[in-house]
Amino acid sequence: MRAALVTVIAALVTVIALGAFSPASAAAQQDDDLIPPSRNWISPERFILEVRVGPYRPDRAEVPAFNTFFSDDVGPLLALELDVIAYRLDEILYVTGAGGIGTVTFDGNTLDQLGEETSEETKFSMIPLNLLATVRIDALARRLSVPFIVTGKLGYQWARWSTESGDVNDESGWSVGLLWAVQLGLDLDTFEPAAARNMDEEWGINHSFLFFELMSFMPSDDSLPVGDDLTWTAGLGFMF
Amino acid sequence: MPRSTLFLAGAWLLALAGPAHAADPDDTTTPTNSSAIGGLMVNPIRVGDEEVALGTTIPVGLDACNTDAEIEFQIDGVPDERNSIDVYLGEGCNRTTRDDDTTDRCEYIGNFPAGSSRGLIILLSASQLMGDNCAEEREDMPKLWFLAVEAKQSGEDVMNFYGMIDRLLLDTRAPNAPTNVEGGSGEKQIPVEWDTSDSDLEGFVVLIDTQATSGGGGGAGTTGSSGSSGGDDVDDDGGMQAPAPAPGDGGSASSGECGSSVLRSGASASGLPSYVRRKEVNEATATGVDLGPGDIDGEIAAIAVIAIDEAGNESPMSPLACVKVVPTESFWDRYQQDGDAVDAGCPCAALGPAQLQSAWPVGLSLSLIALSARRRRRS
Repeated sequence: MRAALVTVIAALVTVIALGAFSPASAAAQQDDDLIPPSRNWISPERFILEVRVGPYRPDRAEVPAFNTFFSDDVGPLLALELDVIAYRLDEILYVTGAGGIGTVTFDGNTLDQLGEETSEETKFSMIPLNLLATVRIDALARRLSVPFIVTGKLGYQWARWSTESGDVNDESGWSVGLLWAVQLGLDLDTFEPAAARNMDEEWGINHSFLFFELMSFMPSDDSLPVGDDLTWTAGLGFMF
Repeated sequence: MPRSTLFLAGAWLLALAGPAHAADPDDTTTPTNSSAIGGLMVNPIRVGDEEVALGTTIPVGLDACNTDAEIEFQIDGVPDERNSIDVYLGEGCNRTTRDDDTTDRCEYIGNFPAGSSRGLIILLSASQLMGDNCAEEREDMPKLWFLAVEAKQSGEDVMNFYGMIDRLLLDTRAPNAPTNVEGGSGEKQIPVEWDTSDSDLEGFVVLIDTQATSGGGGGAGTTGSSGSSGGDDVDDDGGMQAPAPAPGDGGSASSGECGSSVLRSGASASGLPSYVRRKEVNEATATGVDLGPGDIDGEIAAIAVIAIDEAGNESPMSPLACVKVVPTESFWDRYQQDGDAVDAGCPCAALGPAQLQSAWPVGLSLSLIALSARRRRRS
């Protein structure tokens, strides 16, 4: 096994050396030099993908049991959102329809009759699904090179929840309600326009951005009140 | 992606899968049961009643030694002119240097006639490989040589008609007992946790004394940890360990909140009465397992944990701990006590009124998605 490892490492070193000094590498370097500074070509934009993470806590006032069992737990919420671009006003704004999915889990321990924690676990998990209409304004970034993109989102969320204790499911159900969000994005193209152009040419990614988003989920009265009045997420987005 | 990166990634994959890796003659991880080197095909088949898994270590443990279990090998490729098989054991052996009285690192085991059939089965007993004294601890992997010879112990040149097995693990050393055993409490899930220092383990067994006596010591915490019993011995870490009576003294051990007349720290786990349940954990690196109320069969039970190594040797019992079944309150139980708690289960109550409420945002979102599809078709 050790001999095999040595063989593999030796092969890797050889390959790196070959990669660094081979004619192919030199040719690749020359190819890079020959790339024209700009071809004014932009691939089609159809989608926006956002990957996000952030703390999440159901409304403490409405669900005191959350404080009892999950007092220090804030998730986190992990989520994906895919926007399809319905309308594009060039270098000004996008209007999109979006779908999202996420997951968040809270862990705690059950209590005995004296109110002391036992070794048994109790969990609450939620998978939020949502449909959103969004308006994303990028005029600042595209026209004035001010690297901010402002987005507003409004839609509806269906959150599938389940709770268990001792690995046995206690209950499950749905919480549904309105969802809104406001997002401030930091346009990365503004900082590295050459890299942004390469991303578009090689991968078809037109723009990329970091974002910070404030959001609120307001479940209906008949739903388990697992909404968060105001929380935040942050993440990375791609337009492609 | 840059061309050099692709080239590097491809070459790396080739290096991993290439012949330089596969051709290593010492690499015995190849999934075959045959001998590592030589022209004879030697396949270990069985140790006692246990079949030998393909390409794995062949464990011969204390139990096999005590029962003088048979170890079965199948040998193929013996030429017609060779009458028998000489078997040698030891690091000092090879196909030319054998039991020549100059070294004790190569021991002659026996000679087995090849017979008329060239597909030969050889049965070696554990005592032939390990000696009669099973109490003498050992843990080694000596090489076992099979030489096709014309005359028994002749010292002749066997050319390529030999085989060697180097995956034979002769192990009579019991693993260390798990430490820091803690038993939990719960209604549906009662966790047990432990620590272990051995690396050659195959798994663990949690021994559950369902006829444990309660109140064995006193002063225990709610978790029933083995390190919290008042009046017991203090261990090196300052914690409290259950006493370890001498095996066979007929006494009982306690762990604060419970006691057992059959489970004793440091004692062997063999010969326990049938009401002691065994919860097997077939994971070498496990540090815990969840018991259910059905495992405990009552409100309280005493537990001990033993480790099992790859040769099937059992460790002595760990210090005792207690597990308790207690009524618990979960998040959902507590939430249901709220006056305005909503129902769960069927989502109808929430989804029904929501259909109207959700009509416009959902309609808007779907309209935009549809518009997007139309836009793509037209472009």
